[in-house]
Amino acid sequence: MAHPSTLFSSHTDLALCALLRGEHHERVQQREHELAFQELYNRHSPRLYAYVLKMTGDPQQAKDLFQEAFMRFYKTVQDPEKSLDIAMTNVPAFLLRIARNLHLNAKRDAKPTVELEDFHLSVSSANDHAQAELLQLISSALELLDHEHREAFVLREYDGMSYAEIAEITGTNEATAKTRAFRAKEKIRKILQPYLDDVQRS
Amino acid sequence: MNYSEHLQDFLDGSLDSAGEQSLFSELATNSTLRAEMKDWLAMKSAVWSDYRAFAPPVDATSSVFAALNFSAPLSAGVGAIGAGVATKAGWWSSLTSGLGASTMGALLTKSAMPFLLGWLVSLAMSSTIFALWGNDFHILLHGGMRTVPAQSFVPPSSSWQSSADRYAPHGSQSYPMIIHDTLRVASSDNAAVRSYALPSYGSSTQTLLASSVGYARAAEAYRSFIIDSESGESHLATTDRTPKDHYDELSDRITRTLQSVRQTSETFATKSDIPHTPVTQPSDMQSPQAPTPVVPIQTDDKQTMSQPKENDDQFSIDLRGISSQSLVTPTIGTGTQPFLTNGAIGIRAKVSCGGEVGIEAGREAYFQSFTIRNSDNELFRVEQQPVLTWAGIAYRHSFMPDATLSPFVHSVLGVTEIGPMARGMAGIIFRPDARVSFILGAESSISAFRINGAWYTSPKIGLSYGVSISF
Repeated sequence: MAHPSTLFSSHTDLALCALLRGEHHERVQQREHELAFQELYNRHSPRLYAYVLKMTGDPQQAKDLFQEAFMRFYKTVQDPEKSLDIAMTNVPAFLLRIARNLHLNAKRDAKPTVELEDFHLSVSSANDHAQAELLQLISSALELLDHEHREAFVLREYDGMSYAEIAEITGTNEATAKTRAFRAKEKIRKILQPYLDDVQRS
Repeated sequence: MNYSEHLQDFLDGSLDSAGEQSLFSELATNSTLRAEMKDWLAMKSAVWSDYRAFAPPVDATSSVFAALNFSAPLSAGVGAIGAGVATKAGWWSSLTSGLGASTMGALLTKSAMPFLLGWLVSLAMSSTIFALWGNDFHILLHGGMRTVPAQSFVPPSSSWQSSADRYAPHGSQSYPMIIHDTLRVASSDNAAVRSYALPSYGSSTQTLLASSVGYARAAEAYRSFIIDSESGESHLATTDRTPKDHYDELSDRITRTLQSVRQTSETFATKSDIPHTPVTQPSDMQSPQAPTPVVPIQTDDKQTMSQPKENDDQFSIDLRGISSQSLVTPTIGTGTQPFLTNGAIGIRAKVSCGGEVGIEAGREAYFQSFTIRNSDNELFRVEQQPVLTWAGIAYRHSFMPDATLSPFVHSVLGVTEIGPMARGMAGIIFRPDARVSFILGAESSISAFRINGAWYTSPKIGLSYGVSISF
């Protein structure tokens, strides 16, 4: 018997959303309902969390946005007024768009500031000091970028989105998305240049 | 021309071959661009090692599920372990076939050694095969069960790591790996592995893979032939390889890697349209006027892919000698010394990966000791050591059929001129050539015979050595 967590592993996102809504069965079992959501969560939560964490720089705020994004996603899927085909063709992009809107709203309402030293850092291991240091610097450099460039960098480098997807999420065109990502990388490298030069010399 | 943009496209895996050639030519002479490439490799490596950024906190996960009145997700570890076990077709096959052969030998010879040795070797091999398989590049498995991606990002030392984390070799891989439904990318200079679930097959999977391949190619290119101005001289004496050699090697490795990805991953084959442009060889890379010596940066990586011995031969014939002694000390010598005494000849056909079945025949002296009564009902003890001809069905299993050295087990079930016989052997096969191999092993055998309604046995143990020819 298949492990419950693998029951829907071969389902597409659209099929899982349909299960979540209960379209394919008259009475979708509660357990199936839960497992369908769990499958979607497992697939897309890492990307979503990376986005909110890197965009906010604050683990607590990231957690709040992360939860809220999934709640809204669930409600959207459940809403019979919404077309699954349109909303759920690209679930990760849809989730990231929700998170983005939540983040922008939060920024507009509260204008939170994050001290650089409070920026959430996550490094692979303590014994890889050089990489940990570089990771810390990249996180700090991200904080210095404006919202558009930071977002382009995070979506591209952390979430692995294509430029077309970045354009879809951010409401721009592909060329703009690519330019933003490129500029973001250039800016980060420029910020880190003294450190990188030092590393090159050593 | 803006080579920085070219470099970014290359790292993204989206640079066309003309652009790639132009970029590589520039890289060969432009130390600033090389430095930029090195910076980007370091930054990408750092970003990719930031796996915790991809792991939602446990309390966040609990909150989401609690808010929806769902039960908390099951531990992925159990499922992942199950996935690892369930998808080990090769593991199971190797284990059972090895177990079967060794059990047969043990049962028939009443000797525990072939059984224990064969089974333990099989078990050890099977247990580590996933850790060692594809030691050079990547492992490509596509299982029926999937690893829960959220927990694929945890560090290898974590107690809740997934089976994929355990089975994925860390450290020497620099190419994308697809394990179950998870795309993993590791770089040789960075023990951390970045994993992605292969989700609903949106374009992001392609983007990830293209980007990963781009990164891997760039990292490989950098390591392989980009000049390190400071270490160049010290490495110059250790190699006479030209940039062309590195280009050829790089192109070959990338092509083979991508072919493997395409062949193995149905997802990739059906969903991805990532174009692969072979690394083209810039004509000026061999120019004697190259301003600086081009040498590879020495790494711990294996520079070549392991080359399994190509042997599609279906049959093999072998000739072996047997140097064995009776477990009961004989007091008399062998009566005759015919041709091929204590030797065997066999022919086998390949039936599975490492498994061969065939027939085997030989002659061997067996010490016999039994009692009889004469017409006066006097009891006599009789000892003799005749040379018996035997023949039987043979099965041999090699645990590493493509390796130069491989443990094997071998068993024969048959008859002698006077009764049933069984043999079991465990040893090492040495394959210096695809067609020729040599064997050396410990062999035990037992021959049974019946005198006046009573059964007697003649057990023997010793060494066996021989040569096999495949055709």
